[in-house]
Amino acid sequence: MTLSRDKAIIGAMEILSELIIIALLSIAGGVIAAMLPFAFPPAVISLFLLLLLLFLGIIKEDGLSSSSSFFLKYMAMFFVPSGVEIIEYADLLSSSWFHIILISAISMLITFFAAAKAVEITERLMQRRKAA
Amino acid sequence: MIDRIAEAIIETPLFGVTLTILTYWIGLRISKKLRLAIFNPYLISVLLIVAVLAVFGIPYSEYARGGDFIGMFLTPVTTILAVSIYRQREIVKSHFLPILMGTLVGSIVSVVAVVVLSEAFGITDELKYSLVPKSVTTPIAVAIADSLGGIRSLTVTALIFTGVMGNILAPLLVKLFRVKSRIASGVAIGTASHVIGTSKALEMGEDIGAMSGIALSFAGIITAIFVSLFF
Repeated sequence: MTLSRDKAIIGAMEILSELIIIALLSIAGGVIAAMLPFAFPPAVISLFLLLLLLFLGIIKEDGLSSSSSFFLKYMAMFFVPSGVEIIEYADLLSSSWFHIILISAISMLITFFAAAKAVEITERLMQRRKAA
Repeated sequence: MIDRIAEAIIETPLFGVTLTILTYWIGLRISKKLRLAIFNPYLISVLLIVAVLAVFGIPYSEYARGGDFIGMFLTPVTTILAVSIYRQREIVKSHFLPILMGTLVGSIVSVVAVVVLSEAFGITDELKYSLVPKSVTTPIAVAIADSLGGIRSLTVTALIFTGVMGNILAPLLVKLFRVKSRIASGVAIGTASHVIGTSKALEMGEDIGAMSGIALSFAGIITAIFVSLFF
């Protein structure tokens, strides 16, 4: 009885420590972004910081297992409010939906083609180098 | 009496929070039954919320008090992406150069194509900046749109459209563009159509799906760096 309760408490503390790490990294990203001479998304700096700490072994992958599985699994939910906000831009959307769709569609096709061919050319060059 | 009940429900930020979680849960259940890109939980959730607000005449600002709370997790969610990149480090190591070149070329081409097309169609700068990051994974795309001064919700709308299009067309595009390499297919899908495309890539093969998942992280980071250097 006490054993399972102890386990539950340890589990809860792990989640708290994970949340603290993520919150501190998120804030640190904002601080670093504010000090940069150019505009850069603070969230991407936080991502770099965490990646660095993982590679240096300062933070263990297991040390973030609860929160990472939760956030990664339900990631899209956190962007629902940004999507709902579109109703505030109904006029803009109704006047430019055609351009939005056209630009998105054309650029998507070009991007797909460019990425695929860049990989294939790189692979071919690497093979030729290996053969030579 | 009914007015007072309605007011009590809407008044608290919990209204927006609960509505978001509830509709997303419904979206998850529906998308599990109907395995179609258009019926993704995200889109279902957004449409249901818009419908609820419209039917009951609830202003967006009432929803936003709770919605902003959920949206606050933008940064933590993006940070956590590092864990998924770290997990894939072995595959990345074995195909580093092709992945890097594919995502680098693809990301730059995507941004340049959006800018050129925006100029050609003469749309506003605000709209252009909203569309620039639209091929990238949602958390990073929203962060880039914010730093450029674009409109978040337009970015997300264009991004969903792009993703669904990539999801539906991916097998066709692989044939049309005569893409022989499976690594190239995966990288192209992830770079062009982020996580919604990746779900189709996983259906096309586990290796293609893994590549697509790696490519979307690479493309997000490269796009963020490229945009900050040139805008």
